[in-house]
Amino acid sequence: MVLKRCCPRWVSSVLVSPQSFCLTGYSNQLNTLLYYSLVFQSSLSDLFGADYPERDLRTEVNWVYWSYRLNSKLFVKTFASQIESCSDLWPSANWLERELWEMFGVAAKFNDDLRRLITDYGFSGYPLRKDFPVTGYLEVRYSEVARRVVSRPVLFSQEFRLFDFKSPWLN
Amino acid sequence: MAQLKSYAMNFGPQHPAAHGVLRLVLELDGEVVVRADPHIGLLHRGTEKLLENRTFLQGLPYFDRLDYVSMMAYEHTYSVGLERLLQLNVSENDQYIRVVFLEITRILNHLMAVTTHALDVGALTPFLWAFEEREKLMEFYERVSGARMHAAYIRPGGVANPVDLVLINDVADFIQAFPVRLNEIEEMLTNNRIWRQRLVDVGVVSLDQALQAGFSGPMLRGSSWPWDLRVIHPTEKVYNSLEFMVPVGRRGDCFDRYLIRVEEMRQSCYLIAQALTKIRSQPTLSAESVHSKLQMESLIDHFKFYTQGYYLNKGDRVYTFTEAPKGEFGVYLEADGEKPYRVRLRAPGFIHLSALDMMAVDHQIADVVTIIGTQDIVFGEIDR
Repeated sequence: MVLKRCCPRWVSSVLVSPQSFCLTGYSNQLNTLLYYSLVFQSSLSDLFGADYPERDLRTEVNWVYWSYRLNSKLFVKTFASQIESCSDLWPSANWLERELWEMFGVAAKFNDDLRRLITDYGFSGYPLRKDFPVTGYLEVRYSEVARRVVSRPVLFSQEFRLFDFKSPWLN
Repeated sequence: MAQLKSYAMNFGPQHPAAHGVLRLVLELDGEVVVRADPHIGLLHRGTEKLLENRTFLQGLPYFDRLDYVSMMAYEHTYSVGLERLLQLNVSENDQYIRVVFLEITRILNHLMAVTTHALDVGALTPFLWAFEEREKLMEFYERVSGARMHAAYIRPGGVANPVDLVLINDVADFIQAFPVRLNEIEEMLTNNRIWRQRLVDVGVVSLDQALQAGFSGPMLRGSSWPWDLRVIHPTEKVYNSLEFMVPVGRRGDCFDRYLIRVEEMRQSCYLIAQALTKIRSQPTLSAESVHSKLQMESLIDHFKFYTQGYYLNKGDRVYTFTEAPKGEFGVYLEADGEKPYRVRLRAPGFIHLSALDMMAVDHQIADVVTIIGTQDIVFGEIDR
């Protein structure tokens, strides 16, 4: 709340619940600001995205902090196509930013180590985006002929089925 | 003078001390680690993506498979998240059953963590003893849920089946005998010269480093920070009415973390003992389920509800975090009708492993094994 009064340009809304505060922000500066306001006894516990393809800036990025002094979680939300790295402030951000980059294609500026982390070497695409199919595009197998692992387009013996029936009695 | 060049070595992914599929690229200067670069993802199954295509109840068993040595702790977090979204209350009896099984899970995990750690360092015997105890604990899992490991027992709104009196007695017998087994394991390790030489002052993490790296669970408590979510943000309210202590380390080395895990097992026994006295044994079938066995309409209603799942408004979201045996496990749920729109799993091991470089630099190769062991790494949760 103090933050909202101090910097109305950065903080658009503050939500307070018993266990956590939630800030919806416009800008990455918020993180730096938070760092300096919480510098004692805080840690970045999570950083994740969520994809909303219908929006202009399609990825919602969430930072989750522990403030040990306030004894609560702090959430920072923003929509962004690119974020600023905070791995120099919180080393734990490094892997989280790498994951965000490979899963959503949201790059972290000033993070010079944005290699793929979880997906296969040479993987392409952003798997957690909504337009990426659950089954993916490629499958790998060991080829007896080539004597190495080769990849080929996914083959289905049965079409992928998603039972997405709308409920007749709820709607 | 001969020019010395640092060289890179692959540790894993098939190394037994890598605790699964960790490919660790070590840059070495002689035997000293200059840089440790973990390559993960060899067990990636896309759990977060899969969950987006399942109903909420279908998603539950995936959580057993995240951390496959502490199964119920993870499904518990998910269940709590759903309960918050659905605004369900869990009966006190079910909460005590949950506490019993959560603490059983903690013992299950720490037995694995401590003794595979010992195995990596070179002590085989405690490992064999611990696995016998684990087998007994998994039998309790089996008796309530039918599955030794992937239980899917803790469900949104309570637990799958009530426990019976025989089981309560057997668990009580177990926790009476178990501290003796722990003493035996400790006799083998705690004052063992080799064990101490390999662990004391190895992988020291100062409190500042631990907080900056986002550590949680025993890793954070090892660095003298008394932080246990069971005390601070108890997801089961009954934790407040139970008495237990949170062990905290002083030096932040591997040995402290080992001692913490052992002590946590003792405290878990104590918690189980208290919770067991509070559980009322119930008939196997609740009144509602008897009703659904006898009444056709009731059965249809149940079937409809069970196959279709819950309906939650689009945009409802919740972030829950609990003290899993490995640290803080967080689940972010955003609802979209019968399915989640987005699920984020915050795995403690992921954060811990990302700090491996910080912990392993300037140590010998052999110490890397110790540090991996003390981080209690399980790849199911790291790769998700």
